[in-house]
Amino acid sequence: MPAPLSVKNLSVHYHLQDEPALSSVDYEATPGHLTAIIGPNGAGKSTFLKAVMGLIPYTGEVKVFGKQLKDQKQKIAYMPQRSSVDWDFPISALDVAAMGLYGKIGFMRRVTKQHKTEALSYLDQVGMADYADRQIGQLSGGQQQRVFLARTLAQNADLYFMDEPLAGVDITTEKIIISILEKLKKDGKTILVVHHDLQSVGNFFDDALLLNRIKIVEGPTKQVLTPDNLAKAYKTPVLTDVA
Amino acid sequence: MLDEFLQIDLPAILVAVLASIACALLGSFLVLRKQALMGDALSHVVLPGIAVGFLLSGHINPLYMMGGALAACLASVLLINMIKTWGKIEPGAAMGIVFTTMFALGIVLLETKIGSKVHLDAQHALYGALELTYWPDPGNLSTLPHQILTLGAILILITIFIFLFFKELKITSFDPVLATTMGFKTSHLNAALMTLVALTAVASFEAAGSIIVIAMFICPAATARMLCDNLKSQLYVAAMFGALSGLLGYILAALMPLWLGFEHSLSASGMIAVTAGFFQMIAMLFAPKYGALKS
Repeated sequence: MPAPLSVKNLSVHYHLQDEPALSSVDYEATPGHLTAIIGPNGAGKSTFLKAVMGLIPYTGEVKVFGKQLKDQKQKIAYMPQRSSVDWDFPISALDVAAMGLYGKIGFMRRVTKQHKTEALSYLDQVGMADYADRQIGQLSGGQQQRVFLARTLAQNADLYFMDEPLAGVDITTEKIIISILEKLKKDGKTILVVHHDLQSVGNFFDDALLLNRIKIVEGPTKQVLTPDNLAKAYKTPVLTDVA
Repeated sequence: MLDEFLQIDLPAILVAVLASIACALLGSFLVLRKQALMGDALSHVVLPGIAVGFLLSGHINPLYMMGGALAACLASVLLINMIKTWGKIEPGAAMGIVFTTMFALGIVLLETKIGSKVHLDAQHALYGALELTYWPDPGNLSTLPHQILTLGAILILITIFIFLFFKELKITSFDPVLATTMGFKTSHLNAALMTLVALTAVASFEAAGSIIVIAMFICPAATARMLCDNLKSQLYVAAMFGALSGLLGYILAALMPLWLGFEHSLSASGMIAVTAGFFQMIAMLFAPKYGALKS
């Protein structure tokens, strides 16, 4: 079976910036693994996710389960950063969760009662069923994150991209998110998570991809998180060091 | 008295209400997409297009004016991109340059000799000519003013568009990035929305003036934002406040002064916009859940 995500020579150069945000990244995701994408601020972690999902222009080659992304959209799910949307938007938690089903419902088709029941079951999995009718701005940060997770679950994909799902959440939410990640893994899903907290990486993640504008190293978490590798990513000017 | 109402006031009220509802529906999406000023901007940009369409056809011909307006919108998009890239300035400034220049060009074109010969001039463009909408033979639908037919058709088009693409509009307004990863053509939907905004701006503008267009794209939608928790009610409430502003504004401007014994009525378009703004202020302050002064 082809790798869930295979990236060759991926580079991203934002308009009007001198340095590329990412240069020549090669990467292959291991099926059924939970992988952390780590690196300092501005290392290009979110850029990496956005590029492989085709949200920003890039050079290089990206394959999802061996095919072009545009033929595989049903197989991926994306959980963006919480700050990426307007939480004052007039929409309920249930409506947000149901959005995860839109890809399957298809163009111009309507959301039915059955879809809503299905969306409610995903809210239930993250402990948010009681808040289904709440306008999303009326929820706490952790609850909002769980609604986002329910929406991501509703996408029912094989490859998941999550951008900082654990950033700034309460303990209850963290426990729920981690148990969901483990459940997805048990179901054979491949999950890539942008993660900022180096200390917890070893606790939950199988693999890590360490970035700082280039790929520093990838592999099993323990092998990635060596003092040497971290020094390369976090301290020294990485580009000159590696080149 | 009744004849006068049917010939003059009723068509004006219909035009105001239809234009206000159309603007309020689209305006809800503009406000939620943080593109509220696009309505404002497009209603400025279309003016030279309307003027050229007008000069070419020699009279008020909706098709020529729509065509000209759409051409002006396209030209603006190209110009904005050019100025952004070659002028090395931020997009907001590029838009500002293009919109004001296009509007000024429109005013200049309207003030040319050909423009002044017929009854479309700069003042008409700004304040509209609600009071000039005239139904010569009330009850006879074939003499119904064309503004009512055009706006009615546009309102039907907008309603169908929202009905068919409700789910798509919802996701692309709330989370366009997710929509893109799911394969929804976010940019196509946005282009369709902007086309409807431009069409509505032109039609409302010709009938009621740019002041109504600018107010109605934002005020009723912003009023509804203070009162609603879901997208469906947002649209209904915005449409209701649009209609109410149109009706009430017209009554306050055109009929009330006469009832009170004054000789002159006020600018209906202006009063409608003021009414819409007034509703927004009230909602902002006293809305039960989100108002600034809620108990």
